[in-house]
Amino acid sequence: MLRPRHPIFKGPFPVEPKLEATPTPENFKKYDPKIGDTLETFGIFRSRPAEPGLVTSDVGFEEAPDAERILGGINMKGPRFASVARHGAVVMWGFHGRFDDFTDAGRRLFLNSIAYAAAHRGQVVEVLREFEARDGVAALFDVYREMYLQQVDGKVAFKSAIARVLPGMELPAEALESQEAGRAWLRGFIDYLRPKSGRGAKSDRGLEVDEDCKKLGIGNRRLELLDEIAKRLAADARDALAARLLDLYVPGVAPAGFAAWLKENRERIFFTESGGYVWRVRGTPTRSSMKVETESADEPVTATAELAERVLLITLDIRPPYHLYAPGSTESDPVTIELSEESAWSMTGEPAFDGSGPLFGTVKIRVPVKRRSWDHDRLECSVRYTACDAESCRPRAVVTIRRDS
Amino acid sequence: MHATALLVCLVSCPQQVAAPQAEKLPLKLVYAGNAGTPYTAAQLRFLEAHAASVSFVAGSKLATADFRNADVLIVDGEVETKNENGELRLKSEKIGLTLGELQGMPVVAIGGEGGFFMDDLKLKPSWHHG
Repeated sequence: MLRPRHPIFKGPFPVEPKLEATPTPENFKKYDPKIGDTLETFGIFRSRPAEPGLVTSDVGFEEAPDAERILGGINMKGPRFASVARHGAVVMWGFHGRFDDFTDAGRRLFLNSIAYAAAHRGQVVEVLREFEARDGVAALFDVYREMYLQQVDGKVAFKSAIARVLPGMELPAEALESQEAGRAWLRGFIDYLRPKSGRGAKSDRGLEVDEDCKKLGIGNRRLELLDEIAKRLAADARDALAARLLDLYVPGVAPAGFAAWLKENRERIFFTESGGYVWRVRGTPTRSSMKVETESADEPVTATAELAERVLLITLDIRPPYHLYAPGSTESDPVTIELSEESAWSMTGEPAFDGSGPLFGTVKIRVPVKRRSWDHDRLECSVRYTACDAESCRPRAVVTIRRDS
Repeated sequence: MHATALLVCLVSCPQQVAAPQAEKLPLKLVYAGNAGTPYTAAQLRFLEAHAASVSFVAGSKLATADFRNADVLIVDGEVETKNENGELRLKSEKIGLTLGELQGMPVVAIGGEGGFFMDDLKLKPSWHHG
């Protein structure tokens, strides 16, 4: 995989590598049987690094406008896997090794990658890589089937792989025996696949056929589906099928406002599979899936939250003239944080506040967490506080932060 | 998940190599990696020679204040280690930032440590999808 005219080759330090013919790795031929016997390559390092590097799959990578693959590399996977890529303002440089061991071309390319990242300041990540993309399912038949069948108990392993991505779907015997039959089977429903609903962490859920889309005969990544939804809602504002599809594929847009939303955003929307099989508007950052509930509308504290691998970051906005109290305060009851027993995460230490004593304005709280269950993605966090002004304190209140599966 | 050593790129640019020039980026860098290792020392020496400035912070302690005034954050480190039986294991600095804290910030994520970082944030250049 290569983009020789990419800006990363041009500057700020022009890269003009001396190319060599390298024998094509055998694993590359499994991905692309028509690939040549040699590839044009150039060295990044003068000597073999102590640790291997990193490549990432091309499947679903460039479905959204916030990401691009830039360079490949000799690796144990395939010719389209990327060693240098960008997502938002993050540039992946997959080559591990000491910088002082770069070749001239490697050095310039690396420095240009730093400059390329700097040039993308402000570019946001619009979709995350959370779900299996459709092309990944197709690759099971196009690329991986042969690899599985070469193993001991290969047919069993291949059936298991299919069952993981398409749970509950029976692989026909002919699809197991013949690659073409498998492809034909997949063609019958691939356009209607979406994440399987129900229990389980997002990453493990697999895909299922959306029977509503299949009944309409319109794939969920086609704009025609949105036109059909708009048409049905125009004919009947309470069309249940249209409302169901809208909720799945354009979450957050109400049926009453959909026609206007579609007209306004038609030229700017894209369909993301890795980001959840939904339609998104270009240029919007990936959305947090955390919901925040306060006890009443006049509470002086609002909150937002973001969950990462090892931290739950809570931001409290405290309306003047009120303030809260950090842990350790003796003046009033401090803020306490608790995760419910049903949450898939647990706290691994004391929350860290970016302040002490009375807390005013915007306060960030970092709660160290660790995942303890992969059966679901639910989290419920209670933030209890006592809001006071100069004269008195309100009754103790709670903000609840929820993440549903 | 593991790739073989990536030594070479695939590309076709059939032109002659130009004479070396001074190569210095007018950028302030923050390098987040392993504290106190020869590998880190070597990386910092290189970056000091090729950037306006570079500062170091251990990846495990990285906070938003560390790169607030920087142009680019570089995430790097050695990830291979051996347990008491001599078996190969992987280790990570376990950078504890959220995507919201990093949105729009230029980052170069290098090798395996970069892979862990991008996996934690569920970014597209994922080692998990490698």
